[in-house]
Amino acid sequence: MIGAYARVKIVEQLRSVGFIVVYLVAVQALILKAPIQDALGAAFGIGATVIGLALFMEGLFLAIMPLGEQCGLKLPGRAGVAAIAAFAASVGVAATLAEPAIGLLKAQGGAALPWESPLLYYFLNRGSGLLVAAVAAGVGVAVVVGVLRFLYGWSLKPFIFSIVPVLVGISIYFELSPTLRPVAALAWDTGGVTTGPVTVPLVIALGIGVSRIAGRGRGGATSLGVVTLASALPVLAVFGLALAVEGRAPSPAGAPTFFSPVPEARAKALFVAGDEAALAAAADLAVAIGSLDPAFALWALSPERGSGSAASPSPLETRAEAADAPPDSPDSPGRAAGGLAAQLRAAVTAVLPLALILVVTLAVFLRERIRALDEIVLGLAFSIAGLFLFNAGMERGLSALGSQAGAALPRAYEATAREDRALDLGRLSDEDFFRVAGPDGPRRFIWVDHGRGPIAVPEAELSLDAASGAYRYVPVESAVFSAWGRYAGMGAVLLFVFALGLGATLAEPSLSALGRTVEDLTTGTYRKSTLVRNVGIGVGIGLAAGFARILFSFELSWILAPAYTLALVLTAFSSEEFSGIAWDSAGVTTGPVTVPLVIATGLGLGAGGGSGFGAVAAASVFPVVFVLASGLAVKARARRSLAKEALL
Amino acid sequence: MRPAMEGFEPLSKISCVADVNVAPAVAEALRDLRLPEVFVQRAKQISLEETRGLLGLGLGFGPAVRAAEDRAELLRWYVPRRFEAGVMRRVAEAADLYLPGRGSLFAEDAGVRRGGALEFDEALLAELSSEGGSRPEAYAALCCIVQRGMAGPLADVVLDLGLCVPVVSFGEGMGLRNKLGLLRITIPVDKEVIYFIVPERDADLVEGLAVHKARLDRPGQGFIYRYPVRAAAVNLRVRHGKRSSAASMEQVIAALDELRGSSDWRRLAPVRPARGTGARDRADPLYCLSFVTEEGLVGEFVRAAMDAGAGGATLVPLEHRSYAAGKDRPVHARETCDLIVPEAVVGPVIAAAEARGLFEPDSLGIAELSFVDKAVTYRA
Repeated sequence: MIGAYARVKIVEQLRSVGFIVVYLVAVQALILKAPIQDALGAAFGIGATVIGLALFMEGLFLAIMPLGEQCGLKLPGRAGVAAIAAFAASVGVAATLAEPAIGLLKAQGGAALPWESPLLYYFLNRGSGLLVAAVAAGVGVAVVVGVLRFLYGWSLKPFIFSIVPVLVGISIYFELSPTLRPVAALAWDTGGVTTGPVTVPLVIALGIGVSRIAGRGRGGATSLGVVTLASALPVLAVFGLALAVEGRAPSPAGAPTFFSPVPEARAKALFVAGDEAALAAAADLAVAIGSLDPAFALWALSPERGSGSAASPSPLETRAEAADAPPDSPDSPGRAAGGLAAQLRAAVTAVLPLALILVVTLAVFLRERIRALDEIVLGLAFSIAGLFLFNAGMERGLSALGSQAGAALPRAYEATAREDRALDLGRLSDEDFFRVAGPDGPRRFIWVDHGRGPIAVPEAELSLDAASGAYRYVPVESAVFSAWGRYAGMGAVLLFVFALGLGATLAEPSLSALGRTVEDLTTGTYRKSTLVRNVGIGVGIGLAAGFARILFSFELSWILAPAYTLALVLTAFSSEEFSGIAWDSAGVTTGPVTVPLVIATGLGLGAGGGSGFGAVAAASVFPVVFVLASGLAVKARARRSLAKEALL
Repeated sequence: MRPAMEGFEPLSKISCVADVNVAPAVAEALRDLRLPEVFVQRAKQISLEETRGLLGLGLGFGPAVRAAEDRAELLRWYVPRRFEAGVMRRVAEAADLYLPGRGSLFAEDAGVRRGGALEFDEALLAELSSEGGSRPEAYAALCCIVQRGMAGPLADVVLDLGLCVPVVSFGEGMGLRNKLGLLRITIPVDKEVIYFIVPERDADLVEGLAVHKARLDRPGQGFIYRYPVRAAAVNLRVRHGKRSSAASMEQVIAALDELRGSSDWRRLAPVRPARGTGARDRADPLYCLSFVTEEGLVGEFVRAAMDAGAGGATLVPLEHRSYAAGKDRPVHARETCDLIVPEAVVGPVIAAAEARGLFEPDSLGIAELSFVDKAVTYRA
């Protein structure tokens, strides 16, 4: 019995994840011709992801969603509006604080330079606590408003029509300001990542419970919409926070301007960096990458370097120590155990606080017997174990494959130096070279064989280590699509990203939970597979647009403004029910499968330093358009069918 | 009155299946009638849709005829029996239920027992009844409980034969599963409840198809029961979409059924009771005992009923609405369950549920009893 039950669940998740795995492997190995590294580790990771997803999804439906729905059903009858609002706010805040996806954004922003994007650097480093607090506040307010919406029968559409244009307008304003521009994409992405795999099913179930008990007669999927608000209001909160601190940060400039000892400039630089030691560390980094003259750095920071720099190592020193240290392979037991412990901690943090809030509310404040308590306990255990296995497996499996594929992506459109095929030629003498006459004079060549027969390599393509006198040859491969030109290669990258978005969406646990809920609420007339397909196509197109922005360097508002305008127009003609489904699907779609893959791919394309933000936001808006369009088609068909009978 | 019905108030239970675009008109009619209590269940109607194919050329990548599912609401309410015809006529006219595809409306005899009495606007209802109404026709309603996912194939078979438009709701099963402790999570709880409204002459055919297609003769696959109803309007639009002739095949078949007096002329195979199925004989009558309670409570009463001798049940969520003037119940979420029990068990089950608090104010509980013609399921 248990075996058959487990087999059904695992096969279901295998089907969801199978496409993206096969796709990533096939593209990397067959098209980009880059070898799969640590294939066995990736295979174990994918296996852990599948089992983790199966356990987590089961835990959602056994524990998280029933608890949320029971709270939603019982609260309105037993508690006043203030108590309900307080509960909703605590759920929203706890969900955000437990959400690990903010860390993913920080990882991408790790390469942001404080003088190029000071405000972005501030939010992702010293000011990250404020950023998280703003996001948490946004989600908390969103859950409160969402619950009150059901209690008082407010339509979702006025919220959409008022909030979205404001967000787009502020976004355009941000892009006109050099200081605020880098933060615009970050703000949109926080809205996309903050609704995580535990938060989303919980707030959906809470909304369904409140909606059923409030009974405004609309029924069905009109009980959705909280996720929409929980995705939009954090964006507004981050915009507000950025505007509040804008005056204290310097404008983007060169490193010398940033590190200027002029008191006003120094105050702003300290605001961004945090303290003197951090500022000194940033200066070391600037010197290391050649953005700052060492003598200038010494002069500009001399009163501080004596007291501050000794206390903390500079990034340059840290990198040097890291180079000298023995390589810390992913398989080293210490690092692996530490990583697993962190994953387990993250899983427990993501599930338990929220579950505790629900249990305490039900048992203590509402004095309500928790239904099927044994299933709840088992479900929570499944959720924690599943989330742990899923996250650990993602790191070794899908994310690793995504990083490798992302790193290999530029081969599609530009020549690539193949470090993996580098040859150390050692010390060479004149006799090792031969001369060839040419229009620009004689050139020296050397015969090199790296397994595909000897080829003549010009001396200019060899690199010489001055210290050892040894030569090194790194072959450069032409772009995969070089025969069709650079833009064909870029087009191939966008096609890859489209399919990546589609495949990752199929595996998203939150979307699966939403799809099943929508199927139940519509009695199967709008199937989970239909919703997932429409959302997947939308995500694919959105990601392709987002990555086009990375490749061709244009503003994020060029994507978001027209897409959101179209979404608003379709919303005006759509039913209340489909509006909730569509906008909520946008909120759930960028989750723990899609976001790491998008970030890994973006980093591979060299989108660090902040230029990669925005892909997640772009991926969130197009699903709205596709789901609304499908809803309008359903509505038109039904009306046409009834009208035809009335005429006969 | 049947012995089991003693203690139950005799009422008419009227059910209306309305397309979701038609449901507001039904609700408006019920509001005009000032009915104190209406229960609404989410459902869908399944029919066949003929498509034109690509560019209207009959080309396409999929079948030319496909199953189309349309959202619907299944509304149920009680009225004193003397007002049944007038109320049904009023609702059918208000929502144009006589037009194909819009819905069905039918009534059955039920006994109801509850904590507090229902108050009807009898003057209004009497006025409506005095206006007269068309005589409802005798039909059979079949209710089939199957595993989730089986309703579609079963509906396809019934639709292909042009018998009726199936109506499907989602529910959750209770029974043996609940006796397994935590192992119960390994047994799927989701069920589909399918309703067929057919002329009495076609009831055996539908029952046979259901048993065969849904494999009701195997353990744990589900069951089907039938009960007599009086139909004021029945959705006969089995097929819609592209029209290429003056009359649809369904219209021709219906005309021939009328001429021949039954649908026997088009029976495809002899219908025999499948091996392993059981049907109760008339000496041991069956009843459908339904509990309606506040959301989250019905499971308790089902457990009490099972302890008292009832078999399993299927739980379905309901929404409660009141259209009576001045009535404003704060709690709108309800649940219902149907138990098929032999006459001898009705009394003990009711007593057990009452002892558990079914009729207490907190439960908002109702017990409804109606006669079942026949029930078929696996019998060891």
